[in-house]
Amino acid sequence: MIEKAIRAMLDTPMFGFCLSILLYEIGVWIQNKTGSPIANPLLIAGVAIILFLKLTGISYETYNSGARFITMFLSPSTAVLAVNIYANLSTIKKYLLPILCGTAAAAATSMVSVHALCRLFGLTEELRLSLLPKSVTTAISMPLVQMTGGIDSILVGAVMITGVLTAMCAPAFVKLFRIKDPVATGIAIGCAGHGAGTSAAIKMGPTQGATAGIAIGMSGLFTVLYYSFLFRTG
Amino acid sequence: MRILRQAAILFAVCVVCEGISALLPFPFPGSVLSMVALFLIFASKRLKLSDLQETSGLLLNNMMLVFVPPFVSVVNYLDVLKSIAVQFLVIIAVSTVLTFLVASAVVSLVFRLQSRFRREGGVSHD
Repeated sequence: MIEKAIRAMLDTPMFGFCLSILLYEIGVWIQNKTGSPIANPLLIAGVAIILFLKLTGISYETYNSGARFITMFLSPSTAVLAVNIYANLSTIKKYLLPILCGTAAAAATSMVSVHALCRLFGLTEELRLSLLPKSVTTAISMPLVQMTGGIDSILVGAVMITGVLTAMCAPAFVKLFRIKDPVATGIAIGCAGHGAGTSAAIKMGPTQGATAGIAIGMSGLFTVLYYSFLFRTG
Repeated sequence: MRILRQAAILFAVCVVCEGISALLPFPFPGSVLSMVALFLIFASKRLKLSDLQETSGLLLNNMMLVFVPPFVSVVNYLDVLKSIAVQFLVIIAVSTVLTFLVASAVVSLVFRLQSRFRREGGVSHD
């Protein structure tokens, strides 16, 4: 009888939906409590759900029958990045040339260095395509990986590690590389570590935070442009 | 209702852009196209930021929630990842540092060139 009830509970898509939101909320709560970038809500929720599925023997497909309704919000979440760009238009105009040059160069550096390192380590093409846009916010890099035949879950993990690493190391990098300009700091953090890194930039000051936010969108756009050139079929 | 109505407007933009994206001969994600389209809609004053405020705030503030389900599917690739874990981390660390360095160096360089150009009698835009 209990088995019948559990079956019915797992069969409704609401199960995966609830589980994701509940564990994400717990992740946000832990991050607020500790204030550490390593207490990343995505990392906490993801690892907790993976453990839960492994322990209970529930398949990813069962979980995803509900969780995919959350994934549906991926496209609209990318679209609303336009809100951030439009709201920061005056800052963009003020530093237009440095922003354009910095983000274009950084997006190229990221792709070229990932490509070269993957070749150096002899990774398969599938893995290389999964890592290629890893400095760009998942909202933009995930569709790129899906369109070019990479593995999206590996990309999500790589983007997350990149962001956490940047958030943790950004203050040390700024000191080590003797970066004094707040705009250079913000753009470097946004280009290297997208959203998770930007939370660290906001802590450094308003200019750093605003330019890091702009850099997420701009470096994403440049990466998409490079992709449309490199992978064009026509 | 306001949140749902704003979501419907956003979804409509995304749906149209998915269609356009499918017709393009190069990979340009529909979601990124929607971002550009939404920016143009704001810039042309068809919509104000406040028209989508609640839903855009909701999505922007909880963006990482959207990536939880795709991240969980990494469960299907744990063996692959175990075999390349070290290379994986080295690639991420090295390219992140390089990207950071190049971005900050280029921005500083452009600032220096701009100020030199202005000092040498170029047109000032300030």
